[in-house]
Amino acid sequence: MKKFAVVLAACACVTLGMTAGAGLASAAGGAISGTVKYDGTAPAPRKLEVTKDKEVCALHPHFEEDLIVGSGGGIANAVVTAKGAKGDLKPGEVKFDQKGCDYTPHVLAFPAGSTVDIVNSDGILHNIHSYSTKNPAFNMAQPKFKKVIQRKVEQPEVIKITCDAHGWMHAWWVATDTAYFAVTDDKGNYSIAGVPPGNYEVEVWQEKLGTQDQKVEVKDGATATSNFSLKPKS
Amino acid sequence: MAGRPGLDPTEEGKSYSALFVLMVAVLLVTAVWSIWDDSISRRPWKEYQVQWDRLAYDKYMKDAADEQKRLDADPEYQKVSKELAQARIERDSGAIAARLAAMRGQLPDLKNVANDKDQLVRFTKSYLTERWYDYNHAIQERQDPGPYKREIDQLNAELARESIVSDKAKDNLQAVKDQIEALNSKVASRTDQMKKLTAKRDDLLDKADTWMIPVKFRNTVLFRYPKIPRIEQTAIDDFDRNAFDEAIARVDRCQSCHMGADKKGFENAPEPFRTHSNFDQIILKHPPDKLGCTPCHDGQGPAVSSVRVAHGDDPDWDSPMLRGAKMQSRCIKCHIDVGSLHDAGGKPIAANWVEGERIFEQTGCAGCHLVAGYEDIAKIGPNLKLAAAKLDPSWTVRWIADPKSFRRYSRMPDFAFSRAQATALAAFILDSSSKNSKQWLAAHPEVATLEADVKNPAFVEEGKGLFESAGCKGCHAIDPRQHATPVGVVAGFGPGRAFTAKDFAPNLGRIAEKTSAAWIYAWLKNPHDFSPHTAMPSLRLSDHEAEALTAFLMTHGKKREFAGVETALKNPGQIEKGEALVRKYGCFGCHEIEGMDKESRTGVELTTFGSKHLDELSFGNRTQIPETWDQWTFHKLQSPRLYATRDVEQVMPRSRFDSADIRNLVVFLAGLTQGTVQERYRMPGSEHQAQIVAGRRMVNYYNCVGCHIIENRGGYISRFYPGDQINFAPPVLNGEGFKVQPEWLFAFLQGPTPIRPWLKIRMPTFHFTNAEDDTIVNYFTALSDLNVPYMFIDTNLIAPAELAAGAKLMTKDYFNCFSCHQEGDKKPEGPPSGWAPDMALTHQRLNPDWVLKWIANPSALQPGTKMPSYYPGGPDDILGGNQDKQIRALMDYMFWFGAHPGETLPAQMATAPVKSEK
Repeated sequence: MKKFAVVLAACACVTLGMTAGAGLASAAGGAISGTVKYDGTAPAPRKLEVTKDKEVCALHPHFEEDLIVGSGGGIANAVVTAKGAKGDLKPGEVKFDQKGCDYTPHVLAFPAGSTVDIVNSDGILHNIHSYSTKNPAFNMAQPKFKKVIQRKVEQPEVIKITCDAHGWMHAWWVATDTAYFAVTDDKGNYSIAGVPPGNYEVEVWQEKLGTQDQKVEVKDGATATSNFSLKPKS
Repeated sequence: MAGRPGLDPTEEGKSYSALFVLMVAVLLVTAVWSIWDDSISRRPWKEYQVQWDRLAYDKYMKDAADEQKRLDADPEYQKVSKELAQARIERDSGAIAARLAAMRGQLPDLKNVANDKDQLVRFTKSYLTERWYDYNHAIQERQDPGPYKREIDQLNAELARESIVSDKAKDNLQAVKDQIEALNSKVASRTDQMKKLTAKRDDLLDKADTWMIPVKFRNTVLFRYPKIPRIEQTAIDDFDRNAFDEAIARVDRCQSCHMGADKKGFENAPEPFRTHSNFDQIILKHPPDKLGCTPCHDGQGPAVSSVRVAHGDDPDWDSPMLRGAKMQSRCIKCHIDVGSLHDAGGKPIAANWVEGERIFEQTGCAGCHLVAGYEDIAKIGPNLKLAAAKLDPSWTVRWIADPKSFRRYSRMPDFAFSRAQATALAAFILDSSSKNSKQWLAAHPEVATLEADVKNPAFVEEGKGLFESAGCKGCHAIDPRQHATPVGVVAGFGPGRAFTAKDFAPNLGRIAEKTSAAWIYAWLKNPHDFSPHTAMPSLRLSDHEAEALTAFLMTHGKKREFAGVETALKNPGQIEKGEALVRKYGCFGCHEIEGMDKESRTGVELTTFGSKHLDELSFGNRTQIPETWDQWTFHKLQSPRLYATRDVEQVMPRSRFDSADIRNLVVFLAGLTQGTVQERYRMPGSEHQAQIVAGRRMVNYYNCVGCHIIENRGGYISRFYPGDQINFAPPVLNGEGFKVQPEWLFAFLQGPTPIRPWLKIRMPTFHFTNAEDDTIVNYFTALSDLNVPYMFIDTNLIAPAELAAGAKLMTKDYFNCFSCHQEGDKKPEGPPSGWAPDMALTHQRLNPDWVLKWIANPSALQPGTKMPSYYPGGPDDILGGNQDKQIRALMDYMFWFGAHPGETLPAQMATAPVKSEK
């Protein structure tokens, strides 16, 4: 019975997670949208070697996800935030899955104060090791019998997550200090809706390429465009 | 008027009243001035106290106001104050008020009646006593007691009657009092509640009142005046003892101005009112009302006439107030283990002193200077009794003349020898060691294959790999610009900078210029055979490995022979000159030299150097250096022969210390003072403290910190293991005493066995004596503050169900321990960077208590570890879901399978139902 309840909770948070990730669809305000592109040659996908627990982990090939560039040059998994945009953070529950010894999503953005439901869909031992400094760092075993671990992230921070049992697994949690953020899709597109009118600095963060700022003016009912072009770090 | 004869009428007629008035005025002014001077101008502390009174008053009033604001927002306070007001209104109005007034009106009469009746009873009792005396007296005098007896009976009857009346009067009084109290009870209970809620505010207001004393009229403060200033002093009549073991009294009046030093909350106040820094550690543990201030701060305790004089900044006062880091020099007077003193945030309190002591120990100061407590430090330089077997003659001359041009970070100081002196010294060193060397060389013939193998590029390549991986780099650098383990600050390190930091072990960048392949090979194979006291350990290299490493090292540097060196060094005159120089400059302070084992140190004894008076320190002709102890010492350490004159020669060599290192050394030297502190003021020296001090010195001597982090220091080699590679670096040893079993550690230090077999880096063998080994084991145990360091577990007594539960918890379905941990000979899956130690070793290696804590929350014991914490609560289906029982079962099973290798759980155990309360 207890297990069933946990599964139910997990399902509930999946749906919640999706809406939270898409930003706030409030009626008033304007929107910011655009594309994050890579200013360089797209790296060839690098295959990762699965070295243990092959019966679960090697069911599909693994590729390095630290820089995924789509066919049009768009960068996936970059986080765009409207810095200083005021408003209720509306923290919620977001889902972070370990499936086939990969983290889904690779980059998880949410407003600070949200609770992350860490799901172990694999049924083998994983461990969640956070490299956080502003939030308490943790390193918890998540054995087979524990399908969901909940972890609240109070402070805004970019946190690296790894699994020490499976060296190739790594992901990022981005706890934002504003409710107005988005994660780019496969083509590098993003859209932040319902932003209160005003002048903002829009910041993009990418795990390998760092951050970049741009100024943008948001007007009621209009969509401001803010495109980024990130260069490889030398 | 004719005047009396003999008197001059003109004189008589003169008036002196003007002079008189003048003199009176002068006298008056003098009197006023003397009072002024005595009570004001020579009492600057009074002005400070008045300032303090205002400051403290303002602060406490503000805090009280803040507290009031907090109270106003507190729902409970609002509730209670409303109830109190309500209760007062109820009590003070209408029928209740009338009743109360009426009853209060009755009280005086009732009291009078009760008192009167009570007095009657007492009088009657007195008469009774009197009559009883008469009665007894009559019997003893053989008279008739009859009349007295009758009187007694009568009085008894009276007493009984009066008692009833008196009790009734008392009851009447009490009844009215009870009624009043009952009517008042609601107000009283609310008032009590209120008092509790406002205790903090009231306390703050009381404090404010102590400094600015209120003058009140009917609860209204009319005005306030500052507290009358008075000297605040602590007298300690026996804190320290002089050289004749006589008590020296101290009177400290520092708090007459430093009013806030012992009070929290004035952290941001201006001096002299600021709260003492590190309040919890310093003030709470060293209460100023018992210890005063000058035991740690120095200065002129009793003086209050001016800031300058009170702080002892007077040429006539011996101990000016200590400032900044120099204050750390006083901790050693009462604490044995200064290195372990930390502030509330875990930061070392005496970091500069500790660093100074380390530099003192590790740069060989104690070789030439006797200091009580540091007599037994081993010589830091290489053994020269076998010098001729090791050293290239040309190199020896060049080295002695200018060590820093060969190794810029060498610990060998610069004696500024001329080429001629260097030649003479080399001649003596090589000659005095030639006999021993011949014997040693005969006993260690060169390996036949060495000459060819050293030139083999494959060997060189393999040797390079060994040098990189075996652990050499914990102590030795090979790039001339790099350092491995530095002694002193590293700030000056780098190309083109002053070369101030020292390397703990020699840089090997030009080793082949100095010595031969045969010597390197023999040395690597067994350093102790060549030099019994060396800190260099054996890496248990095979013959092949030693050859490879020799081959690699021989590619670094080239022999540079200069013409005529052999003849010059064989010259008996030179040898004789060299011997005289060795004695004069005291080379045997750091090196073992044949025939000079019994020589005494050449430097001045420094045991009480910190107490030296200025007139004992010669400034020579250096008039530009300010005449203070600090300045003399700083410049002496910077340029040791600075104070030499034509007649006074100085021989101390120059160590090229960084000025930060010198400042630390100055702090350490300042702590070498005369006189001892009375036993009862000292921190009781526990056995643990002594063990920590001894162990720390040994850890420094053998440079364990080159590879390991111990007491949060060291681990220098770990920079070669960036990121994920850190798993291949030597382990961190913070908390090691709690972690491992002392017997295991002792045996491990005697002969290390691999715990993490995948590591290329090796724990070397140091050839510790049993006593040294004990010192290190005790050091770790003491650092973990353990009295019973290890609890034995009898693995035969573990309950089968417990073992079964433990075994189950380790399986893939649960914690899957062997996903990372090695299990006996079975290696885990995946790359070695993810591997963890062999669990089969646990039962003989680890402390069970540590294992329990480790499984529950590893990061608490070793921040950043890859070992994840136990899942809180654990699985529900094992041992009733009780986490503590599950962890215990894991530990028990771990100990069991290590102690019973190859055994499987007996069948009935494996199938035994695992107890579950579900």
